[in-house]
Amino acid sequence: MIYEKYIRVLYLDLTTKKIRIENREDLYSYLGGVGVASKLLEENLKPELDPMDPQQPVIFAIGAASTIFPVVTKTVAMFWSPLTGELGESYAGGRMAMTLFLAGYDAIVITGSSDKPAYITISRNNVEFKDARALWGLSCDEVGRVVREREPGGGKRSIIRIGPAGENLVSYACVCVDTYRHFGRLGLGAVLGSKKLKAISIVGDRDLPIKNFKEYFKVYQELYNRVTDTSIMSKYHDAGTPINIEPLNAAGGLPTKNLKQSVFEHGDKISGETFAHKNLVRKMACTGCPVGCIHIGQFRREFDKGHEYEAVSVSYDYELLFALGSFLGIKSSDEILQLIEVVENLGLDAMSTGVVLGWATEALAKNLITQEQTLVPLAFGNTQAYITAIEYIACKKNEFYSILAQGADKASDVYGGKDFAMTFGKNEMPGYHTGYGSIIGPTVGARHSHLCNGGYSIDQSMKEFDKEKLVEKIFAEEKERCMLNSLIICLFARKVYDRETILAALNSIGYNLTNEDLTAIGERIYKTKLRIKNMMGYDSKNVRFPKRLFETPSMSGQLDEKVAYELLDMYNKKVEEMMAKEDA
Amino acid sequence: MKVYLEVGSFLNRYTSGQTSLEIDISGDKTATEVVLSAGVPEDEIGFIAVNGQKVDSDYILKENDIIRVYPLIVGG
Amino acid sequence: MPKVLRAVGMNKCIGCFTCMLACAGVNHRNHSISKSAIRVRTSGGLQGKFVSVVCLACKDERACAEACPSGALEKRPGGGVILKKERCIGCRKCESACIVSAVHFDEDENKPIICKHCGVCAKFCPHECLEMEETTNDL
Repeated sequence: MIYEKYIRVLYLDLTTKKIRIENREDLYSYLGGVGVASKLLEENLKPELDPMDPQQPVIFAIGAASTIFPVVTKTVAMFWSPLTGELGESYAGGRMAMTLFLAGYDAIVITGSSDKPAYITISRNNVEFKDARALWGLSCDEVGRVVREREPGGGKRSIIRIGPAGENLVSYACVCVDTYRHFGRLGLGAVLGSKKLKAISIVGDRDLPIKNFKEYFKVYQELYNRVTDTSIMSKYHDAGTPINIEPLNAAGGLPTKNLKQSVFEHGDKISGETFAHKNLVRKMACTGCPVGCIHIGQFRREFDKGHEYEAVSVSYDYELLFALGSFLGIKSSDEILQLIEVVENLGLDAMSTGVVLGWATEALAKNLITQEQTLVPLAFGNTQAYITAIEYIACKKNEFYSILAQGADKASDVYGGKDFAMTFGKNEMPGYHTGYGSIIGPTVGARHSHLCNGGYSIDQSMKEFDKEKLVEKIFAEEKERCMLNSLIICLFARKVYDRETILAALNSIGYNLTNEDLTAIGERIYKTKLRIKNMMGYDSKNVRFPKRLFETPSMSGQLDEKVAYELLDMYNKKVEEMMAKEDA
Repeated sequence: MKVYLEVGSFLNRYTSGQTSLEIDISGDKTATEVVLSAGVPEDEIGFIAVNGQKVDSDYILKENDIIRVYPLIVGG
Repeated sequence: MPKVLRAVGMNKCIGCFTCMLACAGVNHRNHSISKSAIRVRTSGGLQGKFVSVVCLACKDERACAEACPSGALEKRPGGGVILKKERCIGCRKCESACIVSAVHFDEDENKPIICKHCGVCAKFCPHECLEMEETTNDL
């Protein structure tokens, strides 16, 4: 809690519909965000029970500096992932951090499950469990509208919700946050679905006087100027991350057609520039961020004969252009936006959905599965077939789609084709085939994401490949981001928030931290996460790389399987050393 | 001798909005040198391709070479 | 010449809420957007555009000042009003008098929150949606 030496935790029990609030002084040294969330997850987890048992917790937490400094905008969710069977960690922007902050809570712990569909409302002086029976089955879009109209607090409210995919427990179902943002990966949507929790609405408007105005505002202004005046952030605002398509494609690092290729012959038709020229209609921001990296693309859809058109708007970002674009051989920006819209309304993770469909397309071509099972002729570039397949995944149409709904790793267990099931630690791959960094990064990353340690960007910045250096950089960045994610800075601003800046910001709101403290916090959090992964049964030695990674050349050239396993070994040793040390 | 420099819609902010430039050079010049002299800051260069192929930073240019400079890959 | 705030570019608004955070911070020394005199919200869900709800700097006839029984709202040169806190009794009549709902109320302090056209929000808007316009003094 800002200006206090404790973390204010709201405990919600969906079974008993009771709440409890605790001021946890012992969590203060974890700052907030992923630091606090991982401790709460560790405490409340029931490792002896099933991952989706009602007693398992879902934790949401905001950071030590949420909302009051530019681009410190995110909320973290931690849970037991139904997709990977181990650590679930996901971040979302939107308005959630601001509303939780102004409702007066640093963290929420949700346990139990409701007997009937419910939604929760949280405000600064009330928490209620409400009837969501009529909302069960509605798309993310519809639920948002109903809750918006029913509940007060427009302009200072955040609404998070699941779609049909979450209700049906699809392992990569997401949670939609305020329309254009998400807790995308690792299946949080399914966990909430298993608890029959359809939505949470948070209104935040409490009184919160600034303690040390002069010092705080000085830091705020400096940060604001750096974020808006310099070119550091302008890439994210201009055409946004979609500008990655062109350089990745030109350099041979764009995963295409289930990574059969790393160059897409139609890359120019789905480039960031193409989207900006043809479809971009608007940019938006998460609350507290003056950059505005959310790009909204629009396309016209003819829904009936007789010139019946509608305008559909969805947010697009690089990862979606890869997963629902080049990875599936989709040749136009309009078609990609169409696929995004389907995924969005059903409440599915766009990245996992695209990669899973990529596997299924190749598996069908290789006769590991039949069209009797897929029901539609999955083929690279066939948007209509993919749209139907996505709908079938969300409702688990038949046995095949029920298996597909559990992820590419599970599907390849059952039907074969493991060598081209593009997952890292059972989480579907991100859009970079840049070198060893883009392979090792998500593999060793605590939540199996490229965001854990930015391995793909280390491939770019290292002039010459050096095994020791790569492992060292990944290890250091993984710990650093643990600290950044306890604040919770949007990672797009990680260059603006260097150590000096972070210390100035935190100290202006009453923290008394040194550079060494920040390092220690990062490591402390990382160790906690690794302990949790252990509790959940994860063993880094069981990891296997899909062979496709070494068949298709990367941006750094052909990759060697032996070297990859060697790097993995080196990284695991570093982790072992760290775990054996006493906590600082 | 003449070489041609192509710059995308993000990096053209450093070349006064121009995306296609014709540049006269004399003697041995590397692709990197030409890109830098056109105004693109070193820390904004992702990589450089000449005639469609990625090149090392010490590649020496030939007559009529078409240089394309790409920005860094951004993300989280 | 006096100046007034004009939200001329709301079509460009990205909904970052920095204007509200700045107003609440500078004018109320508070982290909460509920203390901001300018309010930005969607016209109905994030698919609709953003609109601003803020004092339009009425000249000549200022409905809020007319409604105030204790003379706590003094006419401001150029348009709008200045709140004299010591005279305010917290009756909220100014709030209902404003036809564009630009008078907000601080329930913790029991005083209205009215934009004083100081220009801080405009300074902090990253997208130039807000401007300070010069205007004539009508007093």
